[in-house]
Amino acid sequence: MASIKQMITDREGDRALRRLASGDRSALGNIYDLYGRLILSVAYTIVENTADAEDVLQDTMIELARYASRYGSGSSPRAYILTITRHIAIDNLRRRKPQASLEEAGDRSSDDGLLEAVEVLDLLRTLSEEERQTVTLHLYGGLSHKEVAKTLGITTAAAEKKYRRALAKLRQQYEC
Amino acid sequence: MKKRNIIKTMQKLDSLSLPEKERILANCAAAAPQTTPEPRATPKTRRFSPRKIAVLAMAALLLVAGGVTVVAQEAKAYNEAIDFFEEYNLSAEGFTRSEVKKIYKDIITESFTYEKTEEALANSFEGYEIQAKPLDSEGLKRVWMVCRWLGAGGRTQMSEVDGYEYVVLEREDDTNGLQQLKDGAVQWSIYPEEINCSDIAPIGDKVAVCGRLPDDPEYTVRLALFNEDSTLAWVKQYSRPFGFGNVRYPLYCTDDTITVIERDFDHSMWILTLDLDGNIVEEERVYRSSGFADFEAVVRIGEDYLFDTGDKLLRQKGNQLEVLEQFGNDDWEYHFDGMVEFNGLVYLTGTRMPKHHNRSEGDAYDRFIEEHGKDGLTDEEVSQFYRENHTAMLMICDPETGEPKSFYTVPGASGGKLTVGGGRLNWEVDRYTEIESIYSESYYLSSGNLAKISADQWQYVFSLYGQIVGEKDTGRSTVFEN
Repeated sequence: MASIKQMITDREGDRALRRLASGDRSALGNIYDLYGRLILSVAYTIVENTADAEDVLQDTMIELARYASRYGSGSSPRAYILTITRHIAIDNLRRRKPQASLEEAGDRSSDDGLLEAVEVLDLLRTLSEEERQTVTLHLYGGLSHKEVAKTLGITTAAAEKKYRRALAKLRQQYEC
Repeated sequence: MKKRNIIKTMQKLDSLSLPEKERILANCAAAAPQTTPEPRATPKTRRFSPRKIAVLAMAALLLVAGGVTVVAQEAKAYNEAIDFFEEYNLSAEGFTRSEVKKIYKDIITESFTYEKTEEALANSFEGYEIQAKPLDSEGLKRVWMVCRWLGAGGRTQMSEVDGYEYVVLEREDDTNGLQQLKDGAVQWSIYPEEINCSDIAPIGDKVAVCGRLPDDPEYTVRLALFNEDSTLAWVKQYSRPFGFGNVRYPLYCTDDTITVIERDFDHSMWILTLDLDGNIVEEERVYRSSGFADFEAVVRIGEDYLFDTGDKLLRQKGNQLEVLEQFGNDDWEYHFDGMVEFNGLVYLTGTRMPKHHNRSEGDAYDRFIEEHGKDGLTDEEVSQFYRENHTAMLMICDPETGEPKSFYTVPGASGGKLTVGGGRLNWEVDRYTEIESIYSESYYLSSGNLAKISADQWQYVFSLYGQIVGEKDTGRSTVFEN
């Protein structure tokens, strides 16, 4: 179950992925329109800077184009795309030298939009990597706990537990 | 900080500038479509069960024999019918001799049109009334197929061994332990330093545990074996060769092997078989023709594995994953959340709901939105929609073919977990009590939920033979958002 808007988006996404799988390359543009911002934002919460997030966005689109046949019709297109996004973003993190701290990411921000987005990183900074992704994928990405669990490769119960714990941490942090 | 404020902050991600589509997609044009080399897909097949052939052959023989010497054979036919009733645990009480024979004939010819047949089968499945609709001829046939299967006997894979049950304990600091119970009483609890328990499976008088420690390298997994008295027999660490691997539902034990199942990033899984000393003795990779090779639960059937993927049953055939059964139709889809094998039958728990990936026009969601408008839904309307359209399902499937043989339904509810213990199967069901609609402002903040559902948790208890032997309100309530 999901919001009506999400259902409509995902229905279109399902159609676009199936068209892409059948060889219709124009469907990639539709996927970008439907999920581009979501991919960028989820990637940003992992790689913590816009340049790398854009790289992840591009690599995700390339991966979708290259392996479109892997998508199983009727699956959740959102979960499918965000699973790929997460893996690419984590690979991006591993490849680069440890340099971009949350503070540095904030310092590099130069426009109002980025300043607002950095607030999200500030919010998430006390969470572990998996807790952060659980909150992002559920509260922003719109994935159910079950889909979050699949994306992270953990059990649904563990995903729910991490999510609850993350919320508790955030509540504690901002109420003290 | 309230959840609403957290969501509002997360929403600020929408302010990131989305790069130009043309620039991002420019490089995609060069990305040629690729497919992972994989084995030739096997067409969906249904094996004709030898048992079914045997029963039909027996029916044919009996019909021929009965036609030749009707009068002389009356007593013999009646005795055969009674033997048949006894073999399959059916009650002949309250039926005349003639009715018993007619029921017998109605069943073995698989016609299921005689009015007394339903009564006879209902006497064996007294809990069947929780079904949403009365049994028709097809329904009766399914009930009979369960009786027949059970009469033939079957393997038992219990989550407890010799009365001992093992559970994973979870602490707030993310360390997981292990607990042994006997007849529901705690025997011991441990939080071992050598492994953070994630998944467990009893094996003989020991218990196998899969997990990791926080500082372990990412692509590694630990496996340990604990003795009945909680002492550690051994613990080993394994490196896995693939990049995006995840251990999902890792353990399945037989008398002398431990199996760890891992999901690869693409549409394949690895099935590792280890001996009781933790040495890998076999490593298999199995493929699915499309979609992730992901799964909710797994049971072992003979030499192969059966996987529940949420809406399909997959069976390992050599190095391929074959779709045995896909649930749902143009109007409905099924979301299965768990699967266990219990006394030779496969039980799936889940929820049936309207299909929203339907390509045909005017499915239930469309009609719902059209009738009420996207922004004008009241809690009552949402409640009514959920109650009318969500049904908890317990599907009982043939482990050989994946074919559903019988099912139980609870309207206005969703199916919860299945547990096995004390020779009983427990099915938890969340029966909806109150539903509140929730909205989000952001288009992309799609977790702005449609509904916050409050539910009472009920538990239905089934015998070894699939009969309902009890139901109770657990007194627990749950609230979940969707």
